[in-house]
Amino acid sequence: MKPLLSVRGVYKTYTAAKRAKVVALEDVDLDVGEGEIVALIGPSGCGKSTLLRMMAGLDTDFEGELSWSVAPRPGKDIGFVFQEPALLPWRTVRRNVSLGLEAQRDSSEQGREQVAKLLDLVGLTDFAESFPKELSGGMRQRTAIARALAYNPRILLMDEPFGALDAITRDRLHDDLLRIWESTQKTIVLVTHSVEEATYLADRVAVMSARPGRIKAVHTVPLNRDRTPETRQLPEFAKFAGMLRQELV
Amino acid sequence: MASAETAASSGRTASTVRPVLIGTSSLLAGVALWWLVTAAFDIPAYKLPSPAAVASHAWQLAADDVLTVHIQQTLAEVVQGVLIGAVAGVVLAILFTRLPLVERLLMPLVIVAQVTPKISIAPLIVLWLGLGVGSKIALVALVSFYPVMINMVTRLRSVPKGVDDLARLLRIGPVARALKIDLPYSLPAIAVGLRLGVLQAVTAAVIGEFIGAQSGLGYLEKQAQDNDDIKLVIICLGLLCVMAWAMHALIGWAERKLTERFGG
Repeated sequence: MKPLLSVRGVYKTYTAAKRAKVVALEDVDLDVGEGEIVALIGPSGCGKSTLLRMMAGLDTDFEGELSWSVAPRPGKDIGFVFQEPALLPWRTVRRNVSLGLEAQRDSSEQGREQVAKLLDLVGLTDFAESFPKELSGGMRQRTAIARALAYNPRILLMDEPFGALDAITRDRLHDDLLRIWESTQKTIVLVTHSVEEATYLADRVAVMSARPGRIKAVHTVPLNRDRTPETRQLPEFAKFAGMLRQELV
Repeated sequence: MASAETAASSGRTASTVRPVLIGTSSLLAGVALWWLVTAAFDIPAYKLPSPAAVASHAWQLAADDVLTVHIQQTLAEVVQGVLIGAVAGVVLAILFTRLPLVERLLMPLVIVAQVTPKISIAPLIVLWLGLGVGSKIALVALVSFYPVMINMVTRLRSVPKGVDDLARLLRIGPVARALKIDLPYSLPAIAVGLRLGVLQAVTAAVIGEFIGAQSGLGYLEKQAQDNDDIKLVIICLGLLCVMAWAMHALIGWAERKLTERFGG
């Protein structure tokens, strides 16, 4: 079966200060299957965020090929969660989550139900009419995740979405994301620099190296899909995370 | 929650009453000083009349309903001019941040218009647009669009990258983007620009009226000066001061509300 997205021979160079050519990405190949969670992990500056932005169509200045089994419809098929929640402060949680539907001029009952369902899924039903500044960091990022899913995109791209959160909140959001995945079966590509996060969430982990950014290896996580906080205690978990850590050095 | 809010608002009342009290006593002290100067140094009334003389003259004029038409005229000039200026400033700011070519083409003109002393442009504008309200509105708009534009441009250049990416990702068109993101995001900055602009706006209206007009507080002040009516000069000056202060305070209040709602 053709993967949902395949990246073939992608190169990106840019001109840094003093006209030095910097190779950001070199010969990157990667497949993302339908319904799969793929983590991109690597040291900072390895081009993992750049690669994710290319998938989103936010960065179009590269060589190589990105091919989709079904071409994404502009503005409808890609959900993106940024490092910062990037919420609009004058909109309530509900209206922030509805932004994508609004951009598509979708004011249907289904759309409203989808928003309500997602708010429930991320546990923000009681805060639907609150403003972002009244929320904690974790709740803001949950709002951002719900916003990215509200228009039912085919793929969810996440750029270090939990990086700015404290450890306890991060763990809780990991479980939220897994729950969301269980109920939506979304394809997810997640950029992270945490080996534990990659191990806990992903089906496969692509390890990248820096300067030039390339994919060093792609590993299948040796854990079944049912992951709970106890999973973190398993020896396989520690072994796999340890192996990833070794690869990153 | 409700009790916390009440406590906070009563705290706010206490903290707003204090500066008002201090401000009022400072103004009263100024008037007292003025009165002392006129009384102690025996200054002739044609140079500096006493506060009491000015006040009774003002009372007389108010009773004869002489001032209303002039107040209305100047107020109309300032309000309309500032509104036109604000709209122009907002439109230019959005164009400048979205279309660099437009910025490169128009910015030199904007700079030239701003560095030229307004008082030197005023005779031309009065000549072109006449002695009526139009020339003053144009002058007011000319001075008030600039702070609005500059503040909004600065604010728009600091839209978080994520919000910018989101707008691109969702393919939000330029008009929808201006209305749904750029405009609400800049409202606090627009208010700051207006607050600065409105002070210059009153000056611009008065300059226009000095140069050529048929009514307005600036016109009345000029007339009074020509007739050596120093009391009326002081009354006009005082009214202009109150007018500018009131608008400045009103916009300042709106700015706080907008920052609360749209900032952060």
